Amino acid sequence: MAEVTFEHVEKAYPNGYKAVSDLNLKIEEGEFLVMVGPSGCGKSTTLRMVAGLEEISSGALSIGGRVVNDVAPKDRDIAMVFQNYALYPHMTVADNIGFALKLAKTPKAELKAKVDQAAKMLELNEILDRKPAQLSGGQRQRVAMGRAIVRSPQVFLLDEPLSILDAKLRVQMRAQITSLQRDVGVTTFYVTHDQVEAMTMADRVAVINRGILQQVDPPQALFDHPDNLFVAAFIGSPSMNLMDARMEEVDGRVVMHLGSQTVAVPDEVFTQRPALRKYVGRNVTVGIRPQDIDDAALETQHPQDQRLRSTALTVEALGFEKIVYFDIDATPVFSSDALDMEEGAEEVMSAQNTRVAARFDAVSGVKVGDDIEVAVTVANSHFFDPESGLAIRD
Amino acid sequence: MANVTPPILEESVTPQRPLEDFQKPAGGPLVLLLRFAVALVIPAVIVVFFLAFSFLKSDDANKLAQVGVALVAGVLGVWVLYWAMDRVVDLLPGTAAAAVRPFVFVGPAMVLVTVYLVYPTVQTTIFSFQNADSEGFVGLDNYVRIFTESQYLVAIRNSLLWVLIVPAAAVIIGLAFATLADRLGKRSESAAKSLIFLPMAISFVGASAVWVFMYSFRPEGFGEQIGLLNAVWTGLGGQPVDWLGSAPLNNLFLMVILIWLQTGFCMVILSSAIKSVPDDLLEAARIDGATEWQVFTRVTLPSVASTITVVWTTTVITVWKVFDIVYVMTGGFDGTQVVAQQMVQEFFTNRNNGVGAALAVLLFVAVIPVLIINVKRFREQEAMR
Repeated sequence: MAEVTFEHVEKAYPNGYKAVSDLNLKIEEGEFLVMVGPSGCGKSTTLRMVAGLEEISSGALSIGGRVVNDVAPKDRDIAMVFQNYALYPHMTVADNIGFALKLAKTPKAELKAKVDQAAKMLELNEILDRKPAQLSGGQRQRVAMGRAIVRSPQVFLLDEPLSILDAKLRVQMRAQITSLQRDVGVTTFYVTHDQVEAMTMADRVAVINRGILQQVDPPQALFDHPDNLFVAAFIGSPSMNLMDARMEEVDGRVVMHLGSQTVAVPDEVFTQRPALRKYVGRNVTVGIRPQDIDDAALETQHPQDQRLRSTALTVEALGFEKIVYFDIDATPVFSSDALDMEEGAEEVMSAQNTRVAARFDAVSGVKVGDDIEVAVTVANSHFFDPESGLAIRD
Repeated sequence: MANVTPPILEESVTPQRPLEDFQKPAGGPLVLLLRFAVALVIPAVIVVFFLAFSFLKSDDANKLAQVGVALVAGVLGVWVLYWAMDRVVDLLPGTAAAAVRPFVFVGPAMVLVTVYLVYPTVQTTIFSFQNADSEGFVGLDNYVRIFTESQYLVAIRNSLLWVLIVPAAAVIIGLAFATLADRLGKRSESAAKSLIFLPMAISFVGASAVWVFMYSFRPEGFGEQIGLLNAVWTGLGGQPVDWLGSAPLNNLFLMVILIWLQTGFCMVILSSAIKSVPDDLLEAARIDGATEWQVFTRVTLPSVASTITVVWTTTVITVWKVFDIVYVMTGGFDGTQVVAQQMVQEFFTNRNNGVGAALAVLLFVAVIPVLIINVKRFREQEAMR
């Protein structure tokens, strides 16, 4: 076990394209760090640099205090799980798992014991004699995991290991991988484009976009306090509703104009974010999570001045809740980068109106076409500088 | 006749047919007869065509007209024939049509295979038990001869050496080139591969003609040495050597020619196999602690093993049949004879059909194990799917 440290690490290609810029990050010993970002953001490149499969253009990468920029993959004492598993098709499951040990000239008895132990952890005992072609997707995934853990390496590297599994299996494997990692306690660097994986598995999540690290925090902190627009839009599903707002002081109280509608901004918002005071009388980007918007019919106690009116355009009943989409006439704000990965982003986008997603309680009786009143918990809103896109805090 | 292509029209013809046509094909002797009939009609018509257009073989006829007629009658005619036969089958009652139709398309090919492959094989086998003029049976005499007389035994020994050495050398060199070329840049890779592949385009006789100058040797008094190898050798201070006259190494020198010809083929096929090994497999091995050599021997090589078998067996068959190189370079003298070359010599120089046929049968039998390996491998591959 060891920590992994990136110091000003960069990856630039001969054509000048920078896949990773000035990356500073420390993965603590035994930590499960998930790097998440849209496709092409440099996360896989980062992982491959740790693996030694990609050269580091500048900066220093160290594993366990040793700078490994020029160390060959085989000498880095790392194990990697590939997206497509990369199981050796001509070897049995046992040989696949034991390959690294065999190359390391481990004595036969010890090798067999270690393979058996790994197989036991992953429930592969029954299929040790099979070839990869005879395995199901989930089994292959577990063999790939077995190949990694059998070596007790310093660092695990996992490159989107669940992306080719079907949805149900993915949820199972998510839990299995995290519990496995806790059991063996090896420093783990996990790369994915799926923010749900990131949120559910990680000790800390590193959000990266366009080769630039955006924020590193534990999942809840990331969700509650996104540093900038990109992180705000990227983390959470459905995404945070982001729109232009104008803050004004009326009769000693601050209100926020969202298009033609107005909501009051309670004082606690400013006590939490003193810096927001400066934005009174100016435009600000406000972000409201879907769960902070509820059916006003169910929230009768909700202050009257923290409500919005609109018409329900779409209602997605999920059983435990209803996702309701409606438009309000505030100008939408997009983190353009986040849009790339949001499926159906065009639908959400309409020039003048902001399409707002809200999570209503399942008991809400809202139907498509209904005029609705929604209760907005303004105190939970997020505020960003419209110029820099950075969160306004203190 | 040669322009009868194996029919592959089946797919394009089937879709319009009602499904029940395929579900319960009729049986019975009449259907069997019809199947034979439709299978034979097309080859028969082609033979008639062939005879009818005998002016095509006349030297006096206008060449352009010949080409035109051959193209129209050959290509369009064959298409019309298949189409017409398909229509004729339509006239049969539904189930009978379904039973007979496949034979419209497969039949002619089967007939041609029978005429051109099965019949000659049987006939050759019969010849091998007959005397030189194929007039009376002599039992196993011919076989006894080829397995006792020294010239044939040397030929068999040489052929075995060829089969051991040439495919091994061609595959190993081809594999080495394929692996090394894979590490080059795109452009230099294709340039290097083209160079290695070039000899493939040369006929065996042509290649032999080139190599005659490599190995050329003139005894004293017969002019200056013009051979490349002797130029190098004498340049290094040696005396001119009669490369092709000095047994047993002259066999090796002949094999070099075929290796030179076959390496390109092996390299191209193996190269595409190597390229199809996923990169992450190699990367996984590197991370697992393998050196580059171990990556090659433990991952790349097993991944391309089945391709190596194909290339190897294909080359083995080519080697068994090698005749031209020996014929052109040494004529089989100085202990360089091989089975195929002896066979031609018996048939056409010595006019001994019996021994020639016996050698032919020997070749045929020798190739069978190779074919079995290939078929087995093919079945395994199918089973993997």
